[in-house]
Amino acid sequence: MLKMRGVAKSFITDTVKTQALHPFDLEIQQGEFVAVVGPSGSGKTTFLNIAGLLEEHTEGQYFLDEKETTGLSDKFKSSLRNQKIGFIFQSFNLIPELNLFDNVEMPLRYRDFSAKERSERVLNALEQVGLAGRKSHYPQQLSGGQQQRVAIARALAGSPSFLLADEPTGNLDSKMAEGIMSLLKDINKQGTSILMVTHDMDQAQQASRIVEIRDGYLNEQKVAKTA
Amino acid sequence: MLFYYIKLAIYSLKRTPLLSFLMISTISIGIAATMITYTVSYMMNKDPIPSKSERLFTVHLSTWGIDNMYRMRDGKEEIPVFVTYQDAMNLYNAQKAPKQTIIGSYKAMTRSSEQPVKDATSTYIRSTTYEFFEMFNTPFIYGSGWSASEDEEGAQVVILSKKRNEKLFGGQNSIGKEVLIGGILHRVVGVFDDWPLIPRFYLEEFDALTEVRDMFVPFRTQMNNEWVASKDSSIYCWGEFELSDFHSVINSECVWLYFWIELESAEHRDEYLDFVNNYAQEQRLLGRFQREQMNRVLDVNESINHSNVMGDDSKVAVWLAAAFLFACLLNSMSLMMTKFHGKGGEVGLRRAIGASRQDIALQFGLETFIVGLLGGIIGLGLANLGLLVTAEVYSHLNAELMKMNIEIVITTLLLSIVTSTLFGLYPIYRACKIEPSSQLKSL
Amino acid sequence: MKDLKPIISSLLRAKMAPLLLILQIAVTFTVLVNSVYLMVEKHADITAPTGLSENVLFSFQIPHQGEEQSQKIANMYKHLEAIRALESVERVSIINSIPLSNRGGGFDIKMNPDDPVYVSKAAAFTGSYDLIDTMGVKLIAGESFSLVDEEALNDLGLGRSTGVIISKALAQSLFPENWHQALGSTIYLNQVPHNIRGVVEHLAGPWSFWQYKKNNIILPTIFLMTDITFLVRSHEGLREQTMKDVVELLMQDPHLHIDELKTFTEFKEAAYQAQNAAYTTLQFVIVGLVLITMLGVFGQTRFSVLKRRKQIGTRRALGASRMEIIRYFTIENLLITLCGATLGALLTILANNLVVAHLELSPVPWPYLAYSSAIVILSGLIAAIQPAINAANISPAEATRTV
Repeated sequence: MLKMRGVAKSFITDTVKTQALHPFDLEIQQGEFVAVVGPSGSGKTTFLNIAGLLEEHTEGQYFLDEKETTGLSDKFKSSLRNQKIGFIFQSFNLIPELNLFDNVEMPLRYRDFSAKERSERVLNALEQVGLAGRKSHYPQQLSGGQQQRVAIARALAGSPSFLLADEPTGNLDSKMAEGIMSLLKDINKQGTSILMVTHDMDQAQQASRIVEIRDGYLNEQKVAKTA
Repeated sequence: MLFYYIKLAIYSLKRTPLLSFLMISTISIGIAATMITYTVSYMMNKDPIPSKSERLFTVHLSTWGIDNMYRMRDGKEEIPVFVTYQDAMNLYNAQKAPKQTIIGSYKAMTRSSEQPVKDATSTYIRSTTYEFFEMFNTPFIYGSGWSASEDEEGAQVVILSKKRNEKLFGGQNSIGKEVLIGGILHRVVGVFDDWPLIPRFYLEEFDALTEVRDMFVPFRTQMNNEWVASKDSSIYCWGEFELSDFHSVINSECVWLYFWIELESAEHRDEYLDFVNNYAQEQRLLGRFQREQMNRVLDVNESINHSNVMGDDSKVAVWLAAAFLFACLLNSMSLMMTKFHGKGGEVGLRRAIGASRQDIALQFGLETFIVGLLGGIIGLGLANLGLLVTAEVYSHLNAELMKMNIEIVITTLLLSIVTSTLFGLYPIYRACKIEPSSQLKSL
Repeated sequence: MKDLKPIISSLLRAKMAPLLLILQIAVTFTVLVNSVYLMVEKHADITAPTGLSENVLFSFQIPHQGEEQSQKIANMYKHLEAIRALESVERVSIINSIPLSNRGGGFDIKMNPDDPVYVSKAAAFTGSYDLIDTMGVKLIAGESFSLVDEEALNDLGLGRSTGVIISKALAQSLFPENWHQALGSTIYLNQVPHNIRGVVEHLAGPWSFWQYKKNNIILPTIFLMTDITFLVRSHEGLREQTMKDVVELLMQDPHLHIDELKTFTEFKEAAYQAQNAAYTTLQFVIVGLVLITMLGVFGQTRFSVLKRRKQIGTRRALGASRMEIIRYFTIENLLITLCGATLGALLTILANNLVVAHLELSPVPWPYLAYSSAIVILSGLIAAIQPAINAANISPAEATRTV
């Protein structure tokens, strides 16, 4: 489903070359729940941006659903992000001026869905995260945990190949975080792959695989699978 | 503390040069536009002769014929601002007011006696009586008005403007020198200084904003020379008249002379009006003044309003300019909102370390004050530049109209500071509402 | 227009900033409508046809020479003949006053001598029989004067039965339904009847500011005043040469003084100086208004982009292409300008009613609302381009940035 071959990222600033990510290979199969861990500044966000097609890698090849993404045009990558990837951000990134329905509907508007289909998908997704009853509320009226649920609904609404979660519980207290984690696990059980960046080892343990990034090097960690 | 805030405000303005530039320039453009139009209309509207405007009056008479209406204005019958020769002479000779004067006009070829014939220029001349100069406060550099006796005998005397004196006599004291007017020698008895009387209220609307005429001679002299004014000033006639014949004109119902009086005080106006109405009644018995009598005595400001010197165009212009300033201020208000929005973090931090809402308001208030002050100063510069250009473009109007006085300068600065502070209130209020906690997380 | 709904809801939620801009545009719009209207009005004034062959005409005055009336007239004709004989002169006539010279005479026009109030007013041009040809005025109905009609008198010769030629504008004000009826009708000038003998298309009156400036009458009487005014028509392109020739000719008599030697173009320029000045000013005003609108839109769009960097990043991350971001801001902008223009149109109509009620000005006609909307919307679109492109260039990685 997701295949990276020799992918690396480097910046050149003032003739000094900085290697943000050293070349690595990574493959994620359908239905996996992969956690990416590492301390701040290790290159986690860079990895996430590359995986999410938000940033261009400088070396290697990246295949998404067998499709080579290197060097695609912005327009093409935009539509790939829209259809294949569901984003979940640490700070939710809901649009404060829009109500929940409009927020969840937002990515669907960049696709050719009919109004009816959009509405069905939004309601289904909100149903899935348990917030269907509050579709006309605004983000400020919700708790952090609820906001993140809306963000998850937004990510799910377009039926993506996988969810890309960036510290999804980073801005939440432990109780809310737990709720979000179990929601993600439920979603994963229903067949959606998840790639989650986190610095919380306890959460990482709940994934099926753990990948560690340290000083720009990516290493697979073998973990005991929890039941 | 105040100095600290001033320093902060200046730093803050320097830190976002584009925004500061846009704010200050929008305000200054709005202020400049408003003040240019305001200056012109202020100069047009201000009392031209504050010491006397209540006591100087012009007389309008209903002399038109029973079958002829002079003209319609705003759906009402209108009477002329001029009087006939006979009425001017009768009113003048009655000497009912402490001072009265007749104002006429004619055109002739003029030159100094030292100049060759070919240097003669065609000149518009004002003819009047000796009271004129005292009544309208004419500023003399050399000499004075002619005497009552010179006036009575129609002496060949002339008063020159400073400009014409420079042209004819190099600006020196020319009293006693001679000027040829229409081939007749006139002795110079006075030279008057620049005389910025705006509007020149004793004339009709089309002449009220032009420069003063260069030569004044006694009205009696003009009459003695039988110089009739048919071609160089307004003359309105009905009944029997022959414009090319002097005697026909002065005996006709043609109106062409202004008549002004100076009373001791405004209270004597009714008394004078009674005299005028009685005079009209006498004339009616002689067969004149057959229409319904609408005779009136208007003071300076009433006369200015009546002739609508300012014109509707310039009234609209002031309103449009004010609306433009309003738009500029709204624009600057959005810019301030942008600016203070960008400073949310700083406000949060300051609040967190102990600044009160008032402190924040004072800090930003001072910043808007400085913006307003700079906008005002630059606006003032732009307005003066604009007035120079306006004077160039409107060269047919008196240049004095396009000059600011100290009152307008102060008004400009105040307007700029007050309006920009006023329009800054809301952005400041918003900035003060920022909670100390809200912004720190993201810093 | 699939972005429309979310744009409207975010505008409604953001309130203050867009509201300010809407208000600003509305006020600017009101000023703009009035300025455009005034400018077009002044332009129409300045460019209104005078009916005269402006580029080949000039005029001057000389005093009468001689003691006796007959001597004066003889001298006048002698001068006229001498000027006419000049090679560069096409035609020359005597006239009482030059159109747009600010000097002239006018009459109350009545259709019936007993009417207490005049129907209209008109200025009179009187002079040589061939005045129409010299001026270059176009006769569109009836007939011109001939030599037998011409007479030199001490007055306007109102008692003579030569008939008069009037301008079409006067004919229209006398017979609003069909101006052709004017031909052959009788009008009264100072209670004296005159038959309308011909109609000319355009003819500018003596005063550019006069309400009745298009109403004019032509008479074939040479009115003997203190000075004689000659109107000279040169051959095409030879006006300057002709002026020199005429001056040279007249200067042979050392006692003669030529006054008011001016081309018709100079008269016209002086007459319309106020309108020209206002026209120039209004052009500046309109440019200023457009600039201030653009500045406002530019500032507001930049502000809204700045405020929404993260949001834009998120939209990009969730699959919006660059074009879709540009479209979003363009539509948002268009909406604000449209609201502003609509509110401005309402304000204008309100202001119009006030203006019409309190000042003697005509209201702004409807099409000017459309012109001004076009100007405002176009300037808004142009001003939004740069900030919208800026927005589109925000990296989708902005979404994952935590600061």
